[in-house]
Amino acid sequence: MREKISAESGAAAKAAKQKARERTRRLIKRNWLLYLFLLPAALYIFIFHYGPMYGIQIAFRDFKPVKGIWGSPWVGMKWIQTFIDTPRFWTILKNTIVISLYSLISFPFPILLALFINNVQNMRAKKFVQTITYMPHFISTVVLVGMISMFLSPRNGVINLLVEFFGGSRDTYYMGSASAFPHIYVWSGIWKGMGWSSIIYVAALTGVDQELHDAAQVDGANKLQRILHIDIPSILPTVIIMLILRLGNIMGVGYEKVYLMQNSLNITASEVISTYVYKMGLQNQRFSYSAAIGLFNNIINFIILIIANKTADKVSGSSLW
Amino acid sequence: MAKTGRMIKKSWDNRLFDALANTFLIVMVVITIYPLWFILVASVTDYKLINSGTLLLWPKGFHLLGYQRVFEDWRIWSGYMNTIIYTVGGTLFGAVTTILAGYAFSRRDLPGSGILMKLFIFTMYFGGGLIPTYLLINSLGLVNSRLLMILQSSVSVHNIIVVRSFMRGNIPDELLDAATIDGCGNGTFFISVVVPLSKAIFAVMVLYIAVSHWNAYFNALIYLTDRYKYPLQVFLREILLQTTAASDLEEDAEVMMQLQQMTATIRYSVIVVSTLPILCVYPFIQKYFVKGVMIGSVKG
Amino acid sequence: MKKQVLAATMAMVLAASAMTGCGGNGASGTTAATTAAATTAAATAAATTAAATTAAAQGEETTQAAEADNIMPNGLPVDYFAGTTLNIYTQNGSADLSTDPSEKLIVQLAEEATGIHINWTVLSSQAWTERVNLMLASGDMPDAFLQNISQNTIGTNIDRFYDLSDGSLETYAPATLATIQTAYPNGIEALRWPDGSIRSLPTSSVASSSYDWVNWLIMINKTWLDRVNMDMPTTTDELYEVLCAFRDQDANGNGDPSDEIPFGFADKDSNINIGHTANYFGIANAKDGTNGRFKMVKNGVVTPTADTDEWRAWLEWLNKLYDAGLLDPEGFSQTKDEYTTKLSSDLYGVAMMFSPVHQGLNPDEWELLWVKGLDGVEPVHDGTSQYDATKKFGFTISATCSNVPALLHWWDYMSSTRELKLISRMGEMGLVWNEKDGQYYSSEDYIDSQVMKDHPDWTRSNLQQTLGFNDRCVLVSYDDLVPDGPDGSVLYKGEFKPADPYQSATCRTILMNTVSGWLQDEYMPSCIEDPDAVADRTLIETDLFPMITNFASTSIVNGVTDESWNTYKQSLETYGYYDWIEWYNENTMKN
Repeated sequence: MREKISAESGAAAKAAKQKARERTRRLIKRNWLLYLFLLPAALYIFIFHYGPMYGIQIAFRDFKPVKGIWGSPWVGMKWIQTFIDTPRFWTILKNTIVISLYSLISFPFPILLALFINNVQNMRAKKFVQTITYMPHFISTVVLVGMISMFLSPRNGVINLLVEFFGGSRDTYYMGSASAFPHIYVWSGIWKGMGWSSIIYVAALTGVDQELHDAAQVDGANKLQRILHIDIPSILPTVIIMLILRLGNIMGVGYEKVYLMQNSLNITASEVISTYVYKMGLQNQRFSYSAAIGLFNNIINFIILIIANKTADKVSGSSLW
Repeated sequence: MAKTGRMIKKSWDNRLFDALANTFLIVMVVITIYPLWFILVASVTDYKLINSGTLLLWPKGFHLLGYQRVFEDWRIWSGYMNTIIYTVGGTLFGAVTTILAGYAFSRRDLPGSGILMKLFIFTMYFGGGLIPTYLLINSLGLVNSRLLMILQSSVSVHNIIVVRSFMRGNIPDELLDAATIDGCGNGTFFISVVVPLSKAIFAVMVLYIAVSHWNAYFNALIYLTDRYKYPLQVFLREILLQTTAASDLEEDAEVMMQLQQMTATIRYSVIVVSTLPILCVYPFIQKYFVKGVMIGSVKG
Repeated sequence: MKKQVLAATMAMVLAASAMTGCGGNGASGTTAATTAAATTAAATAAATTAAATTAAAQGEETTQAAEADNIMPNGLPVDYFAGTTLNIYTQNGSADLSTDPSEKLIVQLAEEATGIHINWTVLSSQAWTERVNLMLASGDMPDAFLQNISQNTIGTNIDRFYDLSDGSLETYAPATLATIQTAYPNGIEALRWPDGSIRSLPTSSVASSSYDWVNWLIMINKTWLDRVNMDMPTTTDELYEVLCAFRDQDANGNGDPSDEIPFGFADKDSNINIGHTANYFGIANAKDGTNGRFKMVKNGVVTPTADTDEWRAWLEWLNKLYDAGLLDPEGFSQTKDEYTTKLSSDLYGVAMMFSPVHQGLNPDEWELLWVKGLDGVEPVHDGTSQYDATKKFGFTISATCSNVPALLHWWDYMSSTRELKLISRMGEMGLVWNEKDGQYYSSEDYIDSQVMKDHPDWTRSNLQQTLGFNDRCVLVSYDDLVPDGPDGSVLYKGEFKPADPYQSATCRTILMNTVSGWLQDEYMPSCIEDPDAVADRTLIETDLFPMITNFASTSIVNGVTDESWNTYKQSLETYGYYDWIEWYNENTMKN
C-alpha cells in the first residue's frame, strides 16, 4: 500500500504529495501502538544483529586478532580469489548446488502430510500420526548418521536385506559411494524433517473456513476437489512464504550432517561450501578466509531470495516485503 | 457391495482418496516409528549387540545401566534445571516479541514497516560473525549470564515472517475496517479479535521457540564459563562427543576405551532422557490445532 | 581422612624440599647461584609488584636465616608473593572427575606454601578452542591458560602471549628451566619461536616414560591362525593367503564360516586407518604427527612418498584384498565404535589396536603382524624414536597477566622438587606411586585406598587424572617419572608385585620393545615454525589431503590403472604436493 501511495505521489501534483504526507502522518499517529509492538523485536535485531555488523569487513581484511578488526590490513577480494583458485573450487560449488537443488524436492512432502493428516477424521489417529511423524526432528545428527550407516550397512543393513529380498544384490556399499551421497543426504533429511515442517501447514489449515467445505460438499465436490479448491488456496500464502524462505536458503547446506557422513570415498561428492568453511575456520583459524567464503555463499542466497520474492509477488501477490 | 445409508454418502472417489492418503500416512508412520522404537529398545540393550548391526525388534539382555549412569551424573540434573529456566524464559520472551512484531508487520497500513522488514531480512543473510558478537556481548556485561541464554536466539526473523504471513491470511482486512468503523482501537482489536483468531500460530511459535531453546548449545558453549549454568545439551554433547573430541590428542588409550564404553552404554538412554520432556509439549500444543472454529464464527 | 593424607604429604614434601635446599642436587644446581642473585631478583620483583616492597625488605633480612626451609630455587622466600590472586583457564582431562582443580592436592600445597591464590575457570572440552580464540581476539584474557593451545593459534596471536625470553624464566623459574634443559635434546631452544621469543611452558605428556612413540599396532589373531592351520605370514602374499583362509573357514569357531571379516579397519579414525599397512611397503605412513603422512625423511631430506612405486604397489595389494572380500566392507565409513564392537565380537582376524589389553582382548591370542611387501624394500614402522611427547604449549601466560613473577614463582614452586612434580602429575604418594628404599616406583597401593572405597567404579586413570593434573602438570622429565620395578613389576603393600602381562601398561611395553626395533632411523626435528609459513602450509593441506586419501580409497576399491595413476600424479602437482614437501625442507629441516 505504501508503494502505491508513493507511486501516485510521483505522478501527481504537489497537493497530492502533501495529502499523502498528511495521510502517513495520520496513520503513524493512529497506529502508535503498533510501533510499540515492533519495538522489542527491533531493539533485539538492532542490538544483537546490527551491533556486530561491522564485522562483515573481516572478509575483506587480513584479520589478525591482535590488531583487531579495524587495525587489520585491507586485502580486498583476495580471499574470494583464493577460494576460486583452489583446485577443488568447482567441485565444491557443484556439490553444493547439486545437493541444494535436490533438497528442494523435500518441499512438497510436509504439505502433503499436513493435507492428509487434516483429512483424517478420527481425532486420536490424527494426533498419533502427527506426534509420531514429528519425533525424528529430535534425533541429534550424530545419532541420525549412526543409524543411517547402520541401516545401509553392506554386511547386514536393513536396506540391503530388503534389496536382496526383492532379488537385488545385498552388498552394495551405499555409504562409500559418491553417487549415492546426495540421495542418502536428501532422503534422510526428508525423513527427519517432514513431520516437523508440516506443523506450520497443519496450523494454517485450521484457518480454513469450515462453511466453505460444507457448501462445497452440498454441491457434490469430492475430497480431492475440496483440497484442491479450498484447502490449498487458503494455505497458499503460507506455502509461498515458506517457499521463498526455502529458496533464499538454498545454498545453506548445513555442515554437521554432511561432515559426519563424509569419508574418503564420497568426498568428491560430499565436500560442500559449509564443510569447507568449517574445516578452514576451525582447523586453520583463518577467520578472514572463512568469513569471505561464507559471505560469498550468503550473497548468492540473498540474490536468489530477491529473485524469488519478486517472482512470487508478480505471480501470487504474496511477498516478503 | 453392501450399500448402507452411510456408505452411499461416501462415494468411490472419496474412498479412493482416503485409501491413498491413509496408505501414505501409514507408510510414513511405519518408517518413522521403527527408528524411534529402535532408539527406545537400544537404550535398554547391551551396546555390544546394538553395534553388531543385527536387526533389533525387542530388547536383548534387558538392562537399565544406561539410565542409571545418566541419572547418577550430577551434570544431567544441573543441566536439566538450567535448560528449563532458559526454555521457559526464552519462550516467553521470544513468543511475545515475535507475535507482537509479526502482527504489526502484517498490517498494511503501517508507514515504515516495509523498510524495517527489509532491514530485518538483511540480518538473515549478513552478520558480523562470532568475534564482533562476542565483543558486543562482552561489553554489555552479558558473558556468563543466564539472561543472555534467555535473550539470545529467542527472536528470529524467520518466525516473525511466518507469523506475519499467517495473520495476513487469517485476519481479513474487512474485520479491521469493521472494527475501526466501530471505533475500536488497535489495542482492543488485538486483544479481542487477533488473539482469539491466532491461537494456532501462537502454539506453533511456542513450540518452535521452546524446541530451539531446548536444543541450543552453541551459545552456552561460547558465552558461559560457569559449568553450573550449562544447559543439558552442552553436557550431552560433552558425554557423547568426548571420544571424538579427544581422539586427536595422544590420549591415554585406557581412558579412551573406558570413555568409549561409557558413551556406547549411555548413547541411547541419553536421547530418551533428554528429548522426552520436550516431546511432551506437543500434545498440549495440538489442542490449538482444532480447525474451522475461527473465521466463520467471527465473520458471522 | 583426606586432611590426614594432606598433612602427612605436606610434612613429607616440606622435608624433601628442605633437603634439596641444603644439598643442592643436580636438578636444582642453579640454587646456589640464584641465592646470590636473590637480592637483585627481589629488587626487580619489588619494582613490578608495588605491594611487595615491604615484603622485599623483610625478605632481604630473612634470607640468611630462612634459607633452610623457605627459600625457593629462585632465591625468593616461598611466600614472597603471598596474597596475590591469579586467574587461570583450564580444561579437564577426559578422565578427570573433579569439578575444580582447587580440589587437587598440588594446588592446595602450592597455595599453602606460596600464599598465591588461583581462581580456576574450567571450560568444556568442546568449547576450548573456540573460547580461546574469542578471548584472544577480544583481548579479554585470564592471566594464564593451563591446557595445550595449538601452535597455530599461538602463532597467529603471538603478541597476546607473554614473551618469557626476557629473562624472567632465569629469574623466577630456574627449576622449571632446569627441567626443560634436560627434557629436550636442544633444551630451551625447542620452545623458541623463529623470532627468538618464548611464549609457553611445556607440561608433561600422557605418554609413559618411553622415548619411542608409535601409533596403534597391526596385530593378527593367533587362535584364528591355528584354526585355519596356517603359519605366521612373513610376506604380504602369504598374508593374502592367510586372509583368504580366514574368509573361507570358520576361523572364529562359532559355527558360522561366513561371519569372519579377515581385515578390520576404520578409515575415518587416524589410529585405525588402513594407511598403516603402507609400513609393509617401506612407507611410514602414520597420522599427521611429528613425522606425518605422505612424506618421509631420507638422508636428511624430506621426500615424497605418495607418488612412489611403493605407494602404487601398496594400493594394488590392498585392491587385491578388497576384490577378494578380505577388507571390512564398511571400513571406509564406519566409526571407531562400530569397529570396536566387531573387534570385541571376535569378527576380525587382523586388526589395529593400541594393545590387546586396551581393547579388552587376550594378549596371548594376538601377535604383532610384520610382513614384507616388496623385494629389496625393508618394511618400516610408523612412529618416531626420541618422540617429543611433551605438550609444548601446555602453559601459556597472557601478555596482560597481572603478575608474571608471581605466576612463574607459583609454577616454579610445583617444579621445585621431584616430589612436588610427581604430586602435580599423579596426586599424593601412596596411591599410584610409592616409595621403597628411597626410590619411587609406580604402585598399586591405591587398590585398598579410601578413595577407591568411596568410588569403586574409578579406574587408575580416573584416580591419576582426578588427584593430579596428569598431562597438565608441570614438566616432569623422563628421568623424574616413576619407573616400574624390576622386570616391569609394581609396588604393592611394600613389595614388588610381578609384572602382569594382562595389565594394559605392561602389555603395551612388551609390544613396544619389539616395535622399537622397526622404527625409522631418521625423523624430523622438533621445532616451532614461522606462523605465516604454517598458515600457507595448512592452506595446501585442506585441499591436498582429501585428494590423496580419495585417490587411495578409490584405488583400493576400484584398482589402479596407468591412466588413473597418471592423472593422480598430475593432481599431486596441481594440488601443491611438492610445494608442501619443500615447505618441510625449508622450514622444519633447517632448524
